[in-house]
Amino acid sequence: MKANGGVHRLPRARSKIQYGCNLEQVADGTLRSLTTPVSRLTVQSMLCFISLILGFQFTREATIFAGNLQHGTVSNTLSSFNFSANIRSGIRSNFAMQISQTLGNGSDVFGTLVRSILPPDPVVSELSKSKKPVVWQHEILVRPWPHPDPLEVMQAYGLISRIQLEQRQIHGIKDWKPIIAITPTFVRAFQALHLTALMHTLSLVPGPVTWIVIEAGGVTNETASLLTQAHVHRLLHLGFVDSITPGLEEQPLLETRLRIEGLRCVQEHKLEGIIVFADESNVHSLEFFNMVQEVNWFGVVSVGMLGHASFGEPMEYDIGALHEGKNEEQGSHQLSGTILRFEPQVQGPVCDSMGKLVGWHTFDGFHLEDRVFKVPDKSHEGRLEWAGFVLNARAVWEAGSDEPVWLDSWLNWTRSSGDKNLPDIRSILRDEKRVKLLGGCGHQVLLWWARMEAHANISYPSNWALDSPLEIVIPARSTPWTDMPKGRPSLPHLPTPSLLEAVTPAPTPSRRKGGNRVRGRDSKLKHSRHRQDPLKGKVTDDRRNPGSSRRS
Amino acid sequence: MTKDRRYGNFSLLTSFGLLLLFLCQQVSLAAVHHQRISGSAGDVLEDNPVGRLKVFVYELPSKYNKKWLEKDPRCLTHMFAAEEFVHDFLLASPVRTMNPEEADWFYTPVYTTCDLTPNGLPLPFKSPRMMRSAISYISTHWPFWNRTEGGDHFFVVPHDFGACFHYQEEKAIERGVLPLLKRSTLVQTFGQNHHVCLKEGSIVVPPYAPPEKMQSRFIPPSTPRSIFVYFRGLFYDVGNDPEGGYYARGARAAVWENFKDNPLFDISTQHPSTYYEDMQRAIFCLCPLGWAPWSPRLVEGVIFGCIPVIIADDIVLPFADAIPWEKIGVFVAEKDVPNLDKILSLISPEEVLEKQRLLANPAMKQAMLFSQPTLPGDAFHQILNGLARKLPHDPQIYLKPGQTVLNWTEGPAGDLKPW
Repeated sequence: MKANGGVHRLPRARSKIQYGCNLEQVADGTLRSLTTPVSRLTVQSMLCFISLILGFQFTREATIFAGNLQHGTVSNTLSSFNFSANIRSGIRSNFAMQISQTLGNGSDVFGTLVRSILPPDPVVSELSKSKKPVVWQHEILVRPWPHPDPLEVMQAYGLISRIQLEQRQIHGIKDWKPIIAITPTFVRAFQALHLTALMHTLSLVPGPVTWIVIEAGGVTNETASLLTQAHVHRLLHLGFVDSITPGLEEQPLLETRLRIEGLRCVQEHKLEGIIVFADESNVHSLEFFNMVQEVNWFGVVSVGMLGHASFGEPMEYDIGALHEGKNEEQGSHQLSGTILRFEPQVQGPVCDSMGKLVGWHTFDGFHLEDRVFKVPDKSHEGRLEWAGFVLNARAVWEAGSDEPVWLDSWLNWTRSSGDKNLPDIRSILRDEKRVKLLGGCGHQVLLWWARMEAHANISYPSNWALDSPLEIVIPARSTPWTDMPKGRPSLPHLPTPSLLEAVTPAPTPSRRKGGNRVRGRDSKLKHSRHRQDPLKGKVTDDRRNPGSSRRS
Repeated sequence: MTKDRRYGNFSLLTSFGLLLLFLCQQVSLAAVHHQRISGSAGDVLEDNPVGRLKVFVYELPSKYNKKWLEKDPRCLTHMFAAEEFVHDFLLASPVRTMNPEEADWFYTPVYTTCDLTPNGLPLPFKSPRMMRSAISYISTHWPFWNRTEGGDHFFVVPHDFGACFHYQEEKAIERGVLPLLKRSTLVQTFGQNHHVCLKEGSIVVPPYAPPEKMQSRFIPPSTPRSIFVYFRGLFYDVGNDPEGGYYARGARAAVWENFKDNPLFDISTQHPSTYYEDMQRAIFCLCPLGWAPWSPRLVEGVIFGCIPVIIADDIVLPFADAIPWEKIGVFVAEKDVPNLDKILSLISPEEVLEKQRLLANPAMKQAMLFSQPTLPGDAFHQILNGLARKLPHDPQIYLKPGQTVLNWTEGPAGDLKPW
């Protein structure tokens, strides 16, 4: 440290530390100007006295520093700051200050001081108090570029992923059963949106996933191109030759056919694992795949239904009528005799206090209906989404197990394309003992159903790829914003262009007044807006002198 | 002549043998010592103090203890509540003895940090007088104080700077440890090397953190730890340190200025309701010094498995002779704070996993808590273990009758007023 460089010099009256030289220079200068030896003597004695005081202080600092060095504490570096601070504030002359600052900067061991706070003047306090202050103001160390370094960030993320891997190995599920995800799809505008989202979800599942994608209308390149980035254990892209009926009403029918086809594929290939009906537009939480690992034969999960316009609206109930029944509640507001309750839009099993399945809570997303019905009641059946059911693949193909009569009937149904009645997925739940209610009888909602589709006759570039730049712009059919005035939006304080033309005649290019930064005549019209820049206050000038741009 | 030679040989041999034995013992001790620490977070944590020491609890008038609790029950929940809980624990503990003649240690239950402001912060201004008054009480009613002038007594002083009885460091250093406590053992939360307020032989304990509050907020351990560095707290204490540079010796401000836009650092002054849950999702938890070097974040980090990053020079951590803190936490010097991200990202994954394994040791977590009811291995037992490790007492502490060492008139004049 440079400041320590001064330590090595012995404190003598005339040449103390480096700053002492400057004082000496000053002193010499003044000395030379003096003629009488008396004045010389007085100046000399004054200088001697000053250097005595400073030298005394300096030697005290040095001894304390040496003492701290002995103890080997970190505070020695801090005391060195104190030391430089003493120098800084002890000297009152101008260039001595400069020198002390360079000294201070030189004594900076870290070389990273950007912001340094000058401590309060310790010289005066030192002379007044007998004790040395031990609590002092410290520098706040900020490095010159206080921003993240990308390499370090990458290393840190590597560390995080290693730790998470270890966590999974210790606390995660052992013996991960493979997941078989059956996804019906067909080519349409939003297919890219939904399918890539599902693809990323399935790629993140920490275990082997067999993804069966059944496409209506045969295997297409478009879908295949979307599936290229899937990191799944096995991908089966099947085509089901059938005409696509893209209307929203017919979509459940189509999807059911495709799903059943997927089940047939599982039967044919004798795949092992847990079958999950992963619709493309559903949102799956990764914990969902942990939850379904508990399935033995059949499992039922709760599906959160994100409906269309009316979801989230509260319903009013009389307080008296409330004390029966609904076991799930999310929030309620007291409203003088009636209560507003936000009903959860969830499709799932309803259990009694023993944990037995007694009924289903359904929400028909396609028809925006909310119904509850009990198990034996077949007449009032709401549609249940297949996504809420999970089954063991062996149930589909294993000979000797619960013979998949239901699968055969479903396959018959698919072959007869005229039937509009959907097969009931609950027919697989005949044997209640084999049904596992996952997620605490449906209390955990880790899967959400939502249907967002574009207009049926919307046109979009195939593969969502543009080969050539856009040339023709076809205005989309859209509703105009109701709160904006028609026409081009204009700022209130700007004059309209027509007024502009009348107000500003062409200025001569050679005249340039200060402050009236008018450009040449050619640029008048182009830069007319700049001239009217309200920040520069030109508008008022023009209003004052409407006929000329010259200022008087 | 030959006999002498034989004797000489024999004595040489025996001395040589003794030397060898001594050396072996030293080596084996060193080996055992090394093994103990390198074992599962120190096997010393699992020592049982019952039977190794006896503690006599003085019965002081309630103005020293119970009256304070009645006045302000917040004393039982703030971070200095250790003094109350140690008292309750000792009253019911098997190490307590009703016969003071056979006691190894004497405990004086005086609640010096229970004088709270309306905000809940303890005022230490009356504490020296209260302590003096308590000591004069026990010295007049029992002969044991005068026997050793406090050499075999211990006191619990969990306030900011221990027995210096002030919250401002400058004033605390000026006051120094209360002169009457010079010979006693102090159980305190403050620990800093080469500091006036840490007496030789003190036992450093963790600050009190309510165990139920923390243990009810566990999340499943399979939740992936996705936050790299986590911290919630003040960076600048604008009220007491408007210029900056005094609070935390500028270290907390340096953390903020250097890492406020770093995505790896989840640091902020907002206190969220999911504070405990977030700590369980973090890998490193910063434990920088504040006005005093210790903080409850260390306890919280250990309970929730978050590796503590200790930024406090010369700090003495709780139960440092039983817990191998270098193996468990990361120590960063205050001057290295600008390079904190580099330091932390350069730690190898194996080291981090090893630290997490040590933190997962239930003995480690138990040792940081003052659990109610008391459980084996908790902080109370560690205090007793620490006291037991100091036994047997040095015979020099026993004074001859009539001999006095302490000067009862020492200290600032304000302390000498009776309480």
